[in-house]
Amino acid sequence: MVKRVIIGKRGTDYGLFISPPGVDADTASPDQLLVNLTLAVSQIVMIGIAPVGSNVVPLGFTRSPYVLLNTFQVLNNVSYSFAGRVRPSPFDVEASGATATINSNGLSMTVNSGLGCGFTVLNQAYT
Amino acid sequence: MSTRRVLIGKDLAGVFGLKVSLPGFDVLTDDENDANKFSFNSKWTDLVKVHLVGTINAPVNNFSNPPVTQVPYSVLPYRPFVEIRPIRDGLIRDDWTYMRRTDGTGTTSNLQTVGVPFSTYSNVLNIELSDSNTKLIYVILKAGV
Repeated sequence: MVKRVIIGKRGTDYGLFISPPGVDADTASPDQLLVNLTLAVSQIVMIGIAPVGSNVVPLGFTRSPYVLLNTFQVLNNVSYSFAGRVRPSPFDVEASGATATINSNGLSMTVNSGLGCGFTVLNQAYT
Repeated sequence: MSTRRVLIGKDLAGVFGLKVSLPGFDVLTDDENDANKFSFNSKWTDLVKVHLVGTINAPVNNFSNPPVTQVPYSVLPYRPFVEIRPIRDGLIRDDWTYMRRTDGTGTTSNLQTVGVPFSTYSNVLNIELSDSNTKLIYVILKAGV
Protein backbone atom coordinates (compact mmCIF):
# COMPACT_ATOMS: atom_id res chain seq x y z
CA MET A 1 0.00 0.00 0.00
CA VAL A 2 1.35 3.44 -0.89
CA LYS A 3 1.45 6.40 1.45
CA ARG A 4 -1.18 8.94 0.44
CA VAL A 5 -0.89 11.56 3.16
CA ILE A 6 2.20 12.99 4.84
CA ILE A 7 1.99 15.48 7.65
CA GLY A 8 5.50 16.51 8.57
CA LYS A 9 8.74 15.79 6.75
CA ARG A 10 8.90 14.77 3.08
CA GLY A 11 12.46 14.68 1.88
CA THR A 12 13.88 17.95 3.13
CA ASP A 13 10.52 19.75 3.20
CA TYR A 14 7.96 20.02 5.95
CA GLY A 15 4.26 20.46 5.38
CA LEU A 16 1.12 18.64 4.32
CA PHE A 17 1.36 16.45 1.24
CA ILE A 18 -1.39 14.40 -0.40
CA SER A 19 -0.92 12.23 -3.46
CA PRO A 20 -3.54 10.82 -5.85
CA PRO A 21 -4.63 7.18 -5.52
CA GLY A 22 -1.85 4.78 -6.43
CA VAL A 23 0.94 7.33 -6.08
CA ASP A 24 3.31 7.35 -3.10
CA ALA A 25 3.21 10.74 -1.40
CA ASP A 26 6.78 10.20 -0.22
CA THR A 27 8.31 9.82 -3.69
CA ALA A 28 5.83 11.66 -5.93
CA SER A 29 7.12 14.68 -7.81
CA PRO A 30 5.68 18.02 -6.68
CA ASP A 31 3.65 18.14 -9.89
CA GLN A 32 1.96 14.87 -9.03
CA LEU A 33 0.80 15.90 -5.59
CA LEU A 34 -2.80 16.95 -5.16
CA VAL A 35 -1.92 19.06 -2.15
CA ASN A 36 1.52 20.44 -1.43
CA LEU A 37 1.46 22.92 1.40
CA THR A 38 5.16 23.60 1.47
CA LEU A 39 5.54 25.26 -1.90
CA ALA A 40 5.29 29.00 -2.31
CA VAL A 41 2.29 28.75 -4.59
CA SER A 42 -1.15 30.09 -4.02
CA GLN A 43 -4.05 28.07 -2.83
CA ILE A 44 -7.55 29.14 -3.66
CA VAL A 45 -9.20 29.91 -0.37
CA MET A 46 -12.60 31.12 -1.38
CA ILE A 47 -14.98 31.11 -4.30
CA GLY A 48 -18.40 32.63 -4.24
CA ILE A 49 -21.12 34.51 -6.05
CA ALA A 50 -21.94 38.16 -5.52
CA PRO A 51 -25.49 39.05 -6.51
CA VAL A 52 -26.49 42.25 -8.27
CA GLY A 53 -25.58 45.32 -6.25
CA SER A 54 -22.96 46.13 -3.65
CA ASN A 55 -21.80 43.24 -1.50
CA VAL A 56 -19.30 43.23 1.36
CA VAL A 57 -17.50 39.88 1.52
CA PRO A 58 -15.56 39.16 4.74
CA LEU A 59 -12.02 37.92 4.01
CA GLY A 60 -10.06 38.20 7.22
CA PHE A 61 -6.70 38.91 5.59
CA THR A 62 -4.17 41.49 6.72
CA ARG A 63 -2.97 42.19 3.18
CA SER A 64 -4.79 42.57 -0.14
CA PRO A 65 -5.27 39.16 -1.76
CA TYR A 66 -5.44 38.31 -5.44
CA VAL A 67 -9.07 38.40 -6.54
CA LEU A 68 -10.51 37.32 -9.88
CA LEU A 69 -13.96 38.46 -10.98
CA ASN A 70 -16.15 36.75 -13.56
CA THR A 71 -19.22 38.77 -14.40
CA PHE A 72 -22.28 36.86 -15.47
CA GLN A 73 -24.26 37.77 -18.51
CA VAL A 74 -27.35 35.85 -19.47
CA LEU A 75 -27.81 35.44 -23.19
CA ASN A 76 -31.06 34.39 -24.78
CA ASN A 77 -30.43 33.54 -28.39
CA VAL A 78 -33.54 32.18 -30.02
CA SER A 79 -31.78 31.53 -33.34
CA TYR A 80 -29.37 29.08 -31.77
CA SER A 81 -31.78 27.87 -29.08
CA PHE A 82 -29.35 29.02 -26.44
CA ALA A 83 -30.19 30.53 -23.11
CA GLY A 84 -27.85 30.83 -20.19
CA ARG A 85 -24.77 32.45 -18.72
CA VAL A 86 -21.94 33.17 -21.13
CA ARG A 87 -18.28 34.04 -21.07
CA PRO A 88 -16.17 36.01 -21.86
CA SER A 89 -17.23 38.91 -19.76
CA PRO A 90 -20.25 40.94 -20.74
CA PHE A 91 -19.85 43.22 -23.68
CA ASP A 92 -22.16 45.85 -22.24
CA VAL A 93 -19.87 46.47 -19.26
CA GLU A 94 -20.52 50.18 -19.49
CA ALA A 95 -23.51 49.61 -17.29
CA SER A 96 -22.69 46.39 -15.55
CA GLY A 97 -19.01 45.48 -15.28
CA ALA A 98 -18.08 44.08 -11.90
CA THR A 99 -15.41 45.67 -9.70
CA ALA A 100 -13.95 44.81 -6.31
CA THR A 101 -12.45 47.10 -3.71
CA ILE A 102 -10.22 45.60 -1.02
CA ASN A 103 -11.09 47.10 2.35
CA SER A 104 -8.78 47.58 5.33
CA ASN A 105 -5.83 45.67 3.90
CA GLY A 106 -7.84 42.57 3.09
CA LEU A 107 -10.20 42.46 6.03
CA SER A 108 -13.06 42.43 3.55
CA MET A 109 -13.85 43.34 -0.04
CA THR A 110 -16.75 45.15 -1.61
CA VAL A 111 -17.95 43.66 -4.88
CA ASN A 112 -20.12 45.86 -7.07
CA SER A 113 -21.85 44.29 -10.03
CA GLY A 114 -24.76 45.25 -12.21
CA LEU A 115 -25.30 41.68 -13.39
CA GLY A 116 -23.91 39.58 -10.57
CA CYS A 117 -20.54 37.87 -10.71
CA GLY A 118 -18.45 35.04 -9.43
CA PHE A 119 -15.29 35.72 -7.46
CA THR A 120 -12.18 33.72 -6.66
CA VAL A 121 -9.89 34.73 -3.80
CA LEU A 122 -6.33 33.40 -3.71
CA ASN A 123 -4.34 32.89 -0.55
CA GLN A 124 -1.61 35.24 -1.66
CA ALA A 125 -1.23 38.97 -1.26
CA TYR A 126 -0.17 41.46 -3.90
CA THR A 127 0.46 44.31 -1.44
CA MET B 1 -21.57 16.22 20.66
CA SER B 2 -20.12 18.48 18.01
CA THR B 3 -20.10 17.41 14.37
CA ARG B 4 -16.98 15.58 13.17
CA ARG B 5 -15.44 17.83 10.52
CA VAL B 6 -11.90 16.55 9.83
CA LEU B 7 -10.70 13.05 9.04
CA ILE B 8 -7.04 12.07 8.60
CA GLY B 9 -6.59 8.37 8.05
CA LYS B 10 -9.05 5.59 7.19
CA ASP B 11 -12.66 6.37 6.36
CA LEU B 12 -15.48 3.91 6.92
CA ALA B 13 -14.62 2.20 3.62
CA GLY B 14 -11.05 1.67 4.81
CA VAL B 15 -9.52 4.18 2.38
CA PHE B 16 -6.73 6.43 3.66
CA GLY B 17 -6.96 10.13 3.03
CA LEU B 18 -7.82 13.56 4.29
CA LYS B 19 -11.36 14.89 4.34
CA VAL B 20 -12.86 18.09 5.63
CA SER B 21 -16.61 18.51 5.74
CA LEU B 22 -18.53 21.77 5.70
CA PRO B 23 -20.15 22.99 8.93
CA GLY B 24 -23.06 20.80 9.94
CA PHE B 25 -21.98 17.72 8.01
CA ASP B 26 -20.35 14.64 9.49
CA VAL B 27 -17.07 13.88 7.78
CA LEU B 28 -17.49 10.16 8.38
CA THR B 29 -21.09 9.49 7.54
CA ASP B 30 -22.27 12.20 5.14
CA ASP B 31 -22.20 11.61 1.38
CA GLU B 32 -18.66 12.39 0.21
CA ASN B 33 -19.85 12.66 -3.38
CA ASP B 34 -21.96 15.68 -2.52
CA ALA B 35 -19.77 18.72 -3.21
CA ASN B 36 -22.10 20.81 -1.08
CA LYS B 37 -21.08 18.87 2.01
CA PHE B 38 -17.28 18.74 1.75
CA SER B 39 -14.63 21.44 1.40
CA PHE B 40 -11.84 18.98 0.68
CA ASN B 41 -11.42 15.31 -0.09
CA SER B 42 -8.08 13.74 -1.05
CA LYS B 43 -9.99 11.46 -3.42
CA TRP B 44 -10.57 14.42 -5.67
CA THR B 45 -8.26 14.16 -8.67
CA ASP B 46 -9.37 17.24 -10.59
CA LEU B 47 -7.81 19.90 -8.39
CA VAL B 48 -6.10 22.57 -10.45
CA LYS B 49 -2.78 23.82 -9.19
CA VAL B 50 -1.35 27.29 -9.58
CA HIS B 51 1.86 27.53 -11.56
CA LEU B 52 2.54 31.21 -10.99
CA VAL B 53 0.75 34.32 -9.78
CA GLY B 54 1.92 37.89 -9.85
CA THR B 55 1.31 41.47 -10.81
CA ILE B 56 2.94 43.60 -13.45
CA ASN B 57 2.49 47.19 -14.53
CA ALA B 58 0.93 47.66 -17.94
CA PRO B 59 3.37 49.33 -20.32
CA VAL B 60 3.02 52.93 -21.40
CA ASN B 61 2.70 53.74 -25.06
CA ASN B 62 0.13 54.91 -27.54
CA PHE B 63 -3.10 52.96 -27.39
CA SER B 64 -3.22 51.87 -31.02
CA ASN B 65 0.14 50.12 -30.92
CA PRO B 66 0.69 48.78 -27.40
CA PRO B 67 4.00 47.11 -26.64
CA VAL B 68 4.02 43.50 -25.52
CA THR B 69 4.67 42.88 -21.85
CA GLN B 70 6.23 39.48 -21.29
CA VAL B 71 5.85 37.32 -18.19
CA PRO B 72 8.27 34.37 -18.42
CA TYR B 73 7.75 31.22 -16.38
CA SER B 74 9.27 27.77 -16.10
CA VAL B 75 8.37 25.72 -19.13
CA LEU B 76 5.23 23.59 -19.12
CA PRO B 77 4.39 20.77 -21.51
CA TYR B 78 1.40 22.78 -22.79
CA ARG B 79 0.04 26.28 -23.13
CA PRO B 80 -1.45 26.96 -19.72
CA PHE B 81 -4.82 28.39 -18.86
CA VAL B 82 -4.33 31.98 -17.71
CA GLU B 83 -6.52 34.52 -15.95
CA ILE B 84 -5.67 38.23 -16.09
CA ARG B 85 -7.46 41.13 -14.43
CA PRO B 86 -6.63 44.84 -14.43
CA ILE B 87 -6.44 47.00 -11.31
CA ARG B 88 -7.06 50.69 -11.94
CA ASP B 89 -8.30 53.54 -9.78
CA GLY B 90 -8.15 51.25 -6.74
CA LEU B 91 -10.58 48.75 -8.24
CA ILE B 92 -10.02 45.15 -9.25
CA ARG B 93 -11.91 44.74 -12.49
CA ASP B 94 -13.27 42.05 -14.71
CA ASP B 95 -11.16 41.23 -17.75
CA TRP B 96 -13.50 43.16 -20.02
CA THR B 97 -14.12 46.39 -18.24
CA TYR B 98 -15.02 50.06 -18.52
CA MET B 99 -12.28 52.47 -17.54
CA ARG B 100 -10.01 55.28 -18.64
CA ARG B 101 -6.50 54.81 -19.95
CA THR B 102 -3.52 57.14 -19.99
CA ASP B 103 -0.99 57.12 -22.80
CA GLY B 104 2.73 57.91 -22.79
CA THR B 105 2.11 61.65 -23.11
CA GLY B 106 -0.08 61.75 -20.04
CA THR B 107 -3.29 62.14 -22.04
CA THR B 108 -6.21 60.35 -20.38
CA SER B 109 -8.97 58.87 -22.49
CA ASN B 110 -12.69 59.00 -21.93
CA LEU B 111 -14.32 56.06 -20.22
CA GLN B 112 -14.20 53.18 -22.68
CA THR B 113 -14.65 49.43 -22.82
CA VAL B 114 -11.27 47.77 -22.45
CA GLY B 115 -10.29 44.14 -22.78
CA VAL B 116 -7.01 42.54 -21.79
CA PRO B 117 -5.56 40.89 -24.90
CA PHE B 118 -2.91 38.27 -24.27
CA SER B 119 -1.40 35.14 -25.75
CA THR B 120 0.15 32.20 -23.96
CA TYR B 121 3.01 29.91 -24.81
CA SER B 122 4.56 27.05 -22.86
CA ASN B 123 6.99 29.36 -21.08
CA VAL B 124 5.85 32.93 -21.59
CA LEU B 125 2.76 35.09 -21.35
CA ASN B 126 2.45 38.07 -23.71
CA ILE B 127 0.10 40.84 -22.62
CA GLU B 128 -0.89 43.71 -24.90
CA LEU B 129 -2.60 46.36 -22.81
CA SER B 130 -1.19 49.87 -22.59
CA ASP B 131 -1.98 52.23 -19.74
CA SER B 132 0.23 54.17 -17.39
CA ASN B 133 -2.07 53.64 -14.42
CA THR B 134 -3.00 49.98 -14.65
CA LYS B 135 -1.54 47.06 -12.76
CA LEU B 136 -2.33 43.57 -14.04
CA ILE B 137 -2.98 40.50 -11.91
CA TYR B 138 -2.09 37.26 -13.67
CA VAL B 139 -2.73 33.71 -12.52
CA ILE B 140 -1.19 30.86 -14.52
CA LEU B 141 -2.83 27.52 -13.83
CA LYS B 142 -1.39 24.07 -14.40
CA ALA B 143 -4.05 23.22 -16.93
CA GLY B 144 -3.44 23.06 -20.65
CA VAL B 145 -5.60 24.69 -23.27
